[in-house]
Amino acid sequence: MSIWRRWVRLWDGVELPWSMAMVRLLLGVAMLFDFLSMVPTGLVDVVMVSEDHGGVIKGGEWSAPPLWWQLFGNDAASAWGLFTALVVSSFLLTVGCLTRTSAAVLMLLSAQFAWMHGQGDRGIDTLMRNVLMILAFSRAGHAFSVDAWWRTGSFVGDGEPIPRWPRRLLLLQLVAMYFAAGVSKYAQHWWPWGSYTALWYIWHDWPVSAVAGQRWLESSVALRFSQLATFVSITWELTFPAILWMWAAWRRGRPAWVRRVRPDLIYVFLGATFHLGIAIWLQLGIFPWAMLALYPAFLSGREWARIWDAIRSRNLRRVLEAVQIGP
Amino acid sequence: MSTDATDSGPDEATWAHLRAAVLAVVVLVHGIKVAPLPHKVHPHELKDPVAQEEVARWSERLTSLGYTIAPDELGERVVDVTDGISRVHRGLTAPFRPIMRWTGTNQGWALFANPDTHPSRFRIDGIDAAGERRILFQNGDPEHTWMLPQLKHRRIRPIFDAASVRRRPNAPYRRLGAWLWARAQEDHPDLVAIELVMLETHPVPPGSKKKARKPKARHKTKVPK
Repeated sequence: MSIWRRWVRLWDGVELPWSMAMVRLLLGVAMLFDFLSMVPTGLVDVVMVSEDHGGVIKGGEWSAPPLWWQLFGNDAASAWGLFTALVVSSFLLTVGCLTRTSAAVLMLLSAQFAWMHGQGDRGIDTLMRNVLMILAFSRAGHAFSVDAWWRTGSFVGDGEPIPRWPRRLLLLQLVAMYFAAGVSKYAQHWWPWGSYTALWYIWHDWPVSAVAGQRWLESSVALRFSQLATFVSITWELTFPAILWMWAAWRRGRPAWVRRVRPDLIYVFLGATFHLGIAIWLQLGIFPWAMLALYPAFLSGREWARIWDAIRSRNLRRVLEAVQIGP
Repeated sequence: MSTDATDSGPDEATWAHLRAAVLAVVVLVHGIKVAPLPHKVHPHELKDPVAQEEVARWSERLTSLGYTIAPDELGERVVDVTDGISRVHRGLTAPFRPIMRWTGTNQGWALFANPDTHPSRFRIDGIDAAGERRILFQNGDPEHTWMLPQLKHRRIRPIFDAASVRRRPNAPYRRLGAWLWARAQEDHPDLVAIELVMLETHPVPPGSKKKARKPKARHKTKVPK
């Protein structure tokens, strides 16, 4: 088969909608809570307006001001308008109402926010917008959504298959991200010649650490644990593209152990542990939660359907068997 | 459940080829963007003690491998090479920059690539009319938590986080100072000024031969001046 034909086949085909629907729902919840967190802290009209109007954003003349400011001005009312639009669009995405439009609008509004406050816009925001772009072209609203209810009379939907390319593109994005993050770690402290002390130093990094200054960090046990965690993190990130080989091997059916052991799920489990660790040790806001929101994509819709059936039958063995059917 | 439409009717097959072509462009552009190439290193960045430590260590390693190069020369080489790489990288993706700007999509995942071995602790001092100082806020200090929910919020924290690695305060940090002063006037009317202090610390791993040094102020910003 020619390379082009293989490429076409890679993006072709359909699958059950549960994975992408869960990603949409969880990402929507994460973004909604992230935006709402600006209300109790009183930051809405601080991080969305310029210093001339009491905010922390650059004032004066901009060579290319954000479109939102050009249309609605640069003051507290405009900030609350943008905030409301972000909240409404993330809520609509969460409940799956006009899903594709909501995803596209949320992405564009988030980009305007990033334009205003570039320093407050982190890698995770870029990743979320990349995923919103994928969701805008997917049929993630075919399940667990108001759109599904309009279409089928059921919030769950009727399980009609959806194109599978968006989930594959999302997985490719995650593989590229983890690998690039691993290769970018050029500092000595990530490597044996730096004694794998990177995480130990990151735990001491006052602005981002949740544990900096605690005395137990100075114990040799903490150092050893951080070295192990550093080694696992860098190895896991650098070898993450191996998951692509595992999926291909699963499809070919050889080597046989790939189907039996499902090493891809070991990588996924390590990733979930990695993000939960970040949630405990570091203060990176939405980062670990938004990342975990994307993890349902690692299982196919068919696997989620079998897991759900197994959970309903309250049989743990069947839950474990359910993930043996492959990505 | 999965099906393959490449062998189905002509319309579906055409659509499948069209979709594959569009995705090829998307993957190519984002593939160039995601390529883990080193970012452009500016000469002033090499003056940072963390960067100097890195360059010195790499110089030692390269020398031990038979490629003798002094830290200064290595630093200059890094600036030249990363500048060249950055130009090529930017040139290749230039046509797509407007769409990426408007959609806010991009790639670039240097997550904790270079851990700060001299992390700074952010402190805010209040100064009253008698010149007396008191700590209003200090990172990781449960007794001085003025504005803690705001300062640890992910939309504010990066402002002082970015300033924590610099020798001098940058413009966003000074704007943050102005905003904090406006808030301090409401919450602490007895104050005549606040001072933002970025205290450089020197954690030393247990068992290391290095000696711990006392924290020192990397920079101080008094508001109003």
